[in-house]
Amino acid sequence: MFRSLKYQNPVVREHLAGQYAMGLLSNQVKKRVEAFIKYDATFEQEVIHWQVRLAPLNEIPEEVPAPAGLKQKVLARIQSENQAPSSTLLEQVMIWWKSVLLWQGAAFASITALIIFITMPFNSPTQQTTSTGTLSYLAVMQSQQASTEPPLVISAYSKTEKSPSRLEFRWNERTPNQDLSNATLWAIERETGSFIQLTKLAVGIKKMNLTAAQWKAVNNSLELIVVDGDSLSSRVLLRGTCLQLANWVS
Amino acid sequence: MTNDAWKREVEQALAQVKLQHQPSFEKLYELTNAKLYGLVLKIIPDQALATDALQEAYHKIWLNAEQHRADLGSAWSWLCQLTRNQAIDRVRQRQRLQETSDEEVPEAFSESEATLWPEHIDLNRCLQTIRAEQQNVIVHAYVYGSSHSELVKKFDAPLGTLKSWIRRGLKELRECLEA
Repeated sequence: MFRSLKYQNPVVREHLAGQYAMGLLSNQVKKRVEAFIKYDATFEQEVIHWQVRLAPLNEIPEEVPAPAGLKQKVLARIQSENQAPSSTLLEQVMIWWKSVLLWQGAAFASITALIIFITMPFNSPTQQTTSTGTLSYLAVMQSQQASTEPPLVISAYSKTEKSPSRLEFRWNERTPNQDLSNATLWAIERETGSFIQLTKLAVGIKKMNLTAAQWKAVNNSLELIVVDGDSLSSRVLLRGTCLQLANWVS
Repeated sequence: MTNDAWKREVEQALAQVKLQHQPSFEKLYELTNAKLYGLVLKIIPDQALATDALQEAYHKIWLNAEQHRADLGSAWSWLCQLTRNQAIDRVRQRQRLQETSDEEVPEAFSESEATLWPEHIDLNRCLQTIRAEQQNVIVHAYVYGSSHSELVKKFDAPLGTLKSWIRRGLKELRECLEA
């Protein structure tokens, strides 16, 4: 459907992108446009440009705190959905358990461990890393596979009087663990495209302090990449655009 | 909190919501609920329906956070688009319970420019350069989420003329903002 010339016409694309961002399309056309956004990355950019241009209009309405209790309703809903797969898995495991007549001793130990594992809340880190300094850069690292969730977010904080500049790593506990035992983190320089190695990625690393040179590499980077091994000829495992969120402080 | 600091907090919270990190989602809610509820109430004046729409919007934010393209647009503009879409869908599924026609077309920005973000000043300046009817219809359609037929009633203009105002207005706005 989207291969038709109509969707390649710049005037039509511009019109649809603007009208979509305005919220003026009928439901039928809106659904088509949303499908087209997923199909055509350039069109997605055109829509986002319109969203950004019009975003200041979102400041016109006065702020009104949402009704008390709404937050708990929203949280209850997402928590119940997060727990739902666990009970399904549990039921499946119990059916399997009934079919196991032999090896019950060994199976009991295994199933106990499995139940403990699957009934733990998915990704329930209760502590945020306490952060000092200004969050200056952010890179949402995506794997090369078309995964729906990014496995890692890297935040870069500028130095303060008390602490050096640093990177913080937040790992997605919902995505399968990749073998990053030999992986290295690199910054791609914005102007020249040259690569600067930042660190070896220890498994589960949460934080690393940066030297002045490393901080400069992050500051000048267009993108961060994680490669399998110590060489740039190795496979790229993760990559993410390095977004500047604050002015650089030397 | 300054606007820049607030935007950074929203950006960071949404990035971590992409990892399905619930404490970050709660933080995002605290940061944005008053602004988003104000936005929804302009489109759906009925508070009960507006609350339902906002609840649905936050649910979608949780489920679809990974669709936000942080390299192309801000977290805040993405949150607003998703929430507005939700509110507009909701209101178009039903008859509007309360007509908004007695409300004035909102002024683009009533605050002094000194308190506005830089991009507000740009948009405000560009809105001043387009014809008044184009400006009014664009701001009204955006803020109230009005459909074409509602705009026809509101502005008492033929549908073709109204569409033309919007089309030309958006084109001139884009040219002005990119100049």
